[in-house]
Amino acid sequence: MLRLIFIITLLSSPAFAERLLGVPSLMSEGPNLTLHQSIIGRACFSMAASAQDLDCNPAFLADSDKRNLRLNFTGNDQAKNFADTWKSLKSDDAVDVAEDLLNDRDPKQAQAAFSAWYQKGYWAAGLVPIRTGLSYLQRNEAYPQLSVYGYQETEAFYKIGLVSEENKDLRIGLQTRYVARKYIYQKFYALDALADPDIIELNKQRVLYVEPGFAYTFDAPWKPTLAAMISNLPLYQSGDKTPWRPEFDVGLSTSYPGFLPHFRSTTHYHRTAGTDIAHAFSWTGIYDFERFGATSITLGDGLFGAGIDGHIAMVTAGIGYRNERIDVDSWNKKNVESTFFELGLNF
Amino acid sequence: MILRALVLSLALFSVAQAEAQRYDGNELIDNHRYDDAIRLFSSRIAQNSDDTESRVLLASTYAARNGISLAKFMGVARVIANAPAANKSAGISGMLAQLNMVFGSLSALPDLASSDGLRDIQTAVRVMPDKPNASYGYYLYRALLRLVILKDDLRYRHKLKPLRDQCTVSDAALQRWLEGLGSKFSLILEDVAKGTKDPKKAAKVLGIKAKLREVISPEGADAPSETEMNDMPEALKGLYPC
Repeated sequence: MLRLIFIITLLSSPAFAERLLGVPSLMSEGPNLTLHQSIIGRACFSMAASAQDLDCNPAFLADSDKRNLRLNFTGNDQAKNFADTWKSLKSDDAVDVAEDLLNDRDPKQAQAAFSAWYQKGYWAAGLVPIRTGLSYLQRNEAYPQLSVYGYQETEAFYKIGLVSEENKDLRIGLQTRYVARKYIYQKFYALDALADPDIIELNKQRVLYVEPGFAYTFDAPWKPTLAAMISNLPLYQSGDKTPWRPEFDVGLSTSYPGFLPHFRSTTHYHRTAGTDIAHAFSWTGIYDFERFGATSITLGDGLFGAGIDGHIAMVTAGIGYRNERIDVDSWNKKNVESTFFELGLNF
Repeated sequence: MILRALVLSLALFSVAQAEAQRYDGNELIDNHRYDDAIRLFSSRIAQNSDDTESRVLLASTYAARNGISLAKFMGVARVIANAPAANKSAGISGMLAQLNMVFGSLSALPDLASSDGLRDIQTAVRVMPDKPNASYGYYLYRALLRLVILKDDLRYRHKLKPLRDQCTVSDAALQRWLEGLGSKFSLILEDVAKGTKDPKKAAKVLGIKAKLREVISPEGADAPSETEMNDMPEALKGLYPC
């Protein structure tokens, strides 16, 4: 186990990963199939999901009794603005892309996902017909350099959580994801792209990920639970080289029985390449309105997010806000703001 | 044991993160640290004279220092880059149409505020010599900087004033000025040709350059026709006062 964690950490360290500095990192954005996942980000790996939500860490499925079929859409307000840009990217119209992106100097991030999943207790399976994300940053107005992350992917996943009869405090889980994606991950000069649109590369790849997770609940009144997950661990991949690297998440969650029985929180650690250590920690709380919905809040160094969703009959709807500071360079820090929306059907 | 492994892994991860902090110099320009940027790019060029990225970034530092933002005149870049494909007609009228298109886009280019600005842009052009490994964008950028200088030349109409009163095209002063303008424009066309990926389009630009030389050379200098005068950019009409 020690050796495995050591190897995974080395593999996932930024020294082994290329990075476009200062750009909102889509490569480590975490799950975003539901509103709360989008708001709390990777912290969802270290705490159990709400009643209608899907657990990110498969270990939490082990003692779940949920049974539902869900169709869902979630996305942020930037997604619409970027639809045309993404269309241009796909049609290799570099000039349009450059002109679109040059209009705005602030870093931007857009994301949207349609998904469907079925959960029956300790397992869940789902399909994401389309998930897309785009983020970019422009530098040097005199000779503009654009850093662009963009992807569009289709995904099928299966996750299962297991617990032994002997030790119910320790749960382990495994998630497998098959992803087919097109992506752009590039830094280029606008004038180079204008003169030679072929420099913009649209990459394609297919990857089968195997992502283990575990959760251990200590014997204490507030049920402190240590949970960890390794994501983006490829078992098989074909196509172009991948900028996605294995990611490691760990967190300690607690509940507050007697005091705030419907409230849970986690202190989460995940280090994004190029950010300082303080940025790696976040605190997240979720308050469940039993089966009627939930509200989530997340706080960190330069990070604030809050969201609320509600379930009426078969319909789930939610809205949330996330504001994250991006270290653009040694002198500039900018905030990327997003308003998220969710609409889902539960069967 | 697991906890110990986690702590060790996190420590390793932190060290690796620090190594990832490396920027390419564009952030110096973004933060108006032009002197630092000039020092950085100059030292990179001193280490490797074929470092064309540092050369173009050094040139862009001089441009940025004078408020010349390519992001604001990307439309001009588009006209320049597409000029070879846009004009189908041949001959002098085709050339004039081409020149008209390029001169028409001059209004979108920024004006230089001072003679220091002009010197900076001239320096910017000088730090971008021909290099075999330079990108197409490198040459297009040099063409744009040369256009900024050309616009500055044309903007100072007082230079033309003494010439306007003379009706002889062969006048030595006018001829010198015309040839100077022609050679400046030839360099711009050369850069556009070098910044054009399609060899056919590049050849077309070089054809325009050859025709321009015919027009401004003393031997081949026919007075333009009335139609050609009508198509001519305002800035050039001053050359034919009679």
